[in-house]
Amino acid sequence: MRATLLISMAAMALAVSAASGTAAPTLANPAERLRAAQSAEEQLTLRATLSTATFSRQGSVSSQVVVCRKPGYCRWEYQSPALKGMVMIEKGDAVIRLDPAGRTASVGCSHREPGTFDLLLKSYTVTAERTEPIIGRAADVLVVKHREPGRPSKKVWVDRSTGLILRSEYYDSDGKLATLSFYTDIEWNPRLDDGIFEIPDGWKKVVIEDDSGRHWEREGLSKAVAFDVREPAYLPVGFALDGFHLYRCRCGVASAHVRYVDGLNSVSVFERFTQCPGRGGGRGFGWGRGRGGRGCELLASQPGRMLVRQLGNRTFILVGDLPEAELLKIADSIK
Amino acid sequence: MKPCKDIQSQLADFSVGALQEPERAEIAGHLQECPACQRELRALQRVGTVLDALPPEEATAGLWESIRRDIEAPKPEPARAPWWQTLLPPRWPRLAYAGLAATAIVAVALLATVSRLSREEDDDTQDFLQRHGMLAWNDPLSDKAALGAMLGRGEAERKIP
Repeated sequence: MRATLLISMAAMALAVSAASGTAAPTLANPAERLRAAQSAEEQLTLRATLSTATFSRQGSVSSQVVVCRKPGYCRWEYQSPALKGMVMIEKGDAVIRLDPAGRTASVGCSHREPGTFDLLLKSYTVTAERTEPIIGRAADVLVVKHREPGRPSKKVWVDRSTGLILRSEYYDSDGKLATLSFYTDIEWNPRLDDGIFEIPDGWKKVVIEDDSGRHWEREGLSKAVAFDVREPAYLPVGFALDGFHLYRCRCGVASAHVRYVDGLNSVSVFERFTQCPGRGGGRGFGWGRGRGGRGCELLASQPGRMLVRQLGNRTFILVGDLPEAELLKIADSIK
Repeated sequence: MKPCKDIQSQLADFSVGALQEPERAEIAGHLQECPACQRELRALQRVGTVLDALPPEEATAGLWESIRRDIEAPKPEPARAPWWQTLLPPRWPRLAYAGLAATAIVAVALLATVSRLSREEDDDTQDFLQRHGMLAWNDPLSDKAALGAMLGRGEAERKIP
């Protein structure tokens, strides 16, 4: 009797499993798989070669990159002649760019905001498309798509055994492939000398003054830039304030940078005096020559768009990968 | 035991350590007993050594563009007569294509003229884009290798007198 019951239960379980399509090896919830992949690479030790390309309307930037990674550290060494052997190093919150031409190390700080991935899940869906081999390893192809059309999307190949993202494709808001990166070979757990993550002896160290990692209070930033920092009244669905930052343009004048994020995409609103004293002759920024009476000019950047709007003695520069109409709507809502 | 043909199709991955454990062990076992596959592996390793010794070459923009087009291209569907063939005489499509191509060329030329900026304005554009990109460094799923290349390229272009 018990044996019959067990056999029936097993048969029922098999039937339910087959009906729900879970008989094949299952993926954990794709969104959680992606979340795990986010932190997985930081725990890995590897030396690898990666190819990367970014496509823009002005042309493409591509390079082979030698990647050395161990927990808390990562180093990207660019092999392309156009990038002249540049190296990027990440150590905790510090990001260092080594420029061999001038033997200069520029040191900045990247801010780490917990919880942005949850924001991503509010606006984007994550689906598992298929499993396919890449450099001889089984990878799950996960697709991250916005719930609304006309927004960027991402496709990643996540290594089944380590969680490392082996390939990544970013599609801009026009649906065009904008960035592509993929590993071509990986050596697991090599011995990596700590010295390769340091600034070489004798190099000039430049600390980026307007620390992009620092978040300001609105009032404090207004004091620093000598005007009341304004924000747009309209933001596209899913976007939230990331932070206020100080940005010093190349003439040395302080500007405000307000950044909004939706987890995958971001919009920057830069605000500065139109008559920038550092530009000489009162020439000003020079782009806001009108667009349909709005005082706006739209410029192509990639990925995304850049829009410049003049309002009184202030110029606003918006950068983001959004449809033109959305970017204009944000600009128009700044009063 | 797998035939040599199957083993040899995996030797390239084996030689760079890209195989998972059960497959790796299977191939290692086969190699111990098969001189033909051993020779094949040695040949692959020689090619690898020669390739490693070569200096890196820049991929041409054309190559990357072709990869991009290949990725973006819709996958072929079963042959079906296009809708316009039911509306237009058979000799029309070529003319239509020629017309479209000419329009596209004119549009691209116009866009190139309209969006041309002075070097100073171009530098400003680059500065804002770089700053915008830099702050995306720690965003979820940010492609840091690509971001680094964009930041580096912007710097390199600005230094050209």
